Amino acid sequence: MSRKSKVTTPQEAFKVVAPGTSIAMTCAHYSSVPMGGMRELIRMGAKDLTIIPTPSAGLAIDLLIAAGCVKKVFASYVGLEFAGLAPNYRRAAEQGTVEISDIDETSIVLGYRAAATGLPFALLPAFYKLTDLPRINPAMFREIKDPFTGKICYAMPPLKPDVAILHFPQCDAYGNARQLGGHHTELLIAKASDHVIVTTEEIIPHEEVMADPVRTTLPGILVDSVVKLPYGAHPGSCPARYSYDEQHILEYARLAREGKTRDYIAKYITGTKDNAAYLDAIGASRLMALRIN
Amino acid sequence: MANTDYAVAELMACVMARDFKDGELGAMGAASQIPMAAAKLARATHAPNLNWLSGGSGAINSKLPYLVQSAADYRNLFGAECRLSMEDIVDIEVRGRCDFSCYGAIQVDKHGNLNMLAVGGDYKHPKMRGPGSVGLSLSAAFQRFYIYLTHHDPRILVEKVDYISGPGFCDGTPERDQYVQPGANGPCLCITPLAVFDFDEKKREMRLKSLHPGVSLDTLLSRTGFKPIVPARVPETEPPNDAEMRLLREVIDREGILRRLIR
Repeated sequence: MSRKSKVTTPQEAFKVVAPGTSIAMTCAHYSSVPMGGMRELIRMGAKDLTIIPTPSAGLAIDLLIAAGCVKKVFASYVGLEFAGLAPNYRRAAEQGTVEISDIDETSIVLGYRAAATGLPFALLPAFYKLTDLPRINPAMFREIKDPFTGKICYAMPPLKPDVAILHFPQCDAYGNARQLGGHHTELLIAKASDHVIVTTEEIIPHEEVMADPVRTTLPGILVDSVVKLPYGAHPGSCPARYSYDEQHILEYARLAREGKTRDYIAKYITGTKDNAAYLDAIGASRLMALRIN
Repeated sequence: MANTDYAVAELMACVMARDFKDGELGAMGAASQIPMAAAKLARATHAPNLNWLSGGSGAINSKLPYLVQSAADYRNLFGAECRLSMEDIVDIEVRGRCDFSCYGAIQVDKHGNLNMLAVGGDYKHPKMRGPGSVGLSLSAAFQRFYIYLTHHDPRILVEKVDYISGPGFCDGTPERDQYVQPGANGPCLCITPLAVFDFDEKKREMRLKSLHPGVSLDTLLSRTGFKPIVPARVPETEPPNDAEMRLLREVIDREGILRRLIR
């Protein structure tokens, strides 16, 4: 019997994202954000999602909110970095149409770690007492006593996503993936999650992985399915492949500020039937101009 | 020779760079064009042993020969010494190994407390929702931190922040000291397009340190939402010198990101 390939279609892979699913995705601002996967979720009509993000997220969450896919967001940073605030997130938060659970960078990392190791809760330092997070979010921050010193510290429930969607420049058919740029908690998120989908620029031969196993940064044993989505981080960047599309991001930010995200979605997402059609809508010359090498 | 042909973001980068010390370790977060330029400037002048983490990219001591919009930009790995994962960076920061970091915020108060959560008393329906607390609680772990603002506005520089994401000196009493990581001394400077503030050691409140060239005390006070401590004599912020200007314009920021940052 031969080994089973995990490569599948986006429709098949993203079927696991049922209404009410909690999802996590890679990204550090615009780096490695799995936008191709997000576009597929919007086309498939994903609903009532809970988003458990990385410490610095924004574009994907803002878009999913505008598309009506989101019920709840755990927030650390939800913004568009150099393109300003995330307009749809901001409106949803101000009008109370999306539930927000405020956490932060340290608690995200430690919360994922607790889930990755199967611990009952994450342990956080005393300095949270000086912030308003425990007051505004008592469901997540509980003051406890250090049993050894008697000093205070904080406990937080583990962050355990149902489904993780992680974008990589390279991956083989068994889910062995290589991050060629910054490591943005993808391994940690994969360990913390129940189900892991890798979207990748390129499917490399398994022999290439075996020839250089130290370059594998996410082992296939943690991965459930692999989907090839070239330029799958656009308009974000994919390290060692292409840079972020500043012009497109600014166009998105402008439309979002003007309350016209629906037009953006109609043009680029529901108006394109799949990733290939999306790339056609962006255009080869623009995509080539973003390439790093 | 004092230069007059500089952009205010370039002046702010110079103020920050001069204060970074040789041998220190600094951490840079998102959209940190000014602090990244300052780190590069300090390394090129008095602080060749300054080490710096470029946040989201994971790069230690990036030598990218130009400025980019984002500390998370992959290009920051150019010429770097190591790529750390996000979780490793958090370990290093929470443990208190970093000498300094640099923060912006949607509200800053006279005690140097930082708010990135929301403006308006009703947390569930705020007047303005901010991006979130991100790494601001780490202000209680860094040995010191700089505050930098690209707008000097009474709605940003307020008497008391609506929510604390990043603790400064809290209410000004010593109570905060027992909850911060060991050696976390709080905010050191607040640098804005109009002026530089430091902090009075006893009151733990912002004190005007210098006014940028051409800015009057009246203008500053009318655009500040609290009453800062104003010493009898307030010097002018030292403008960028020739060497700093040459490095900024010809080496660090040839694309003019700082020149376009604050209009």
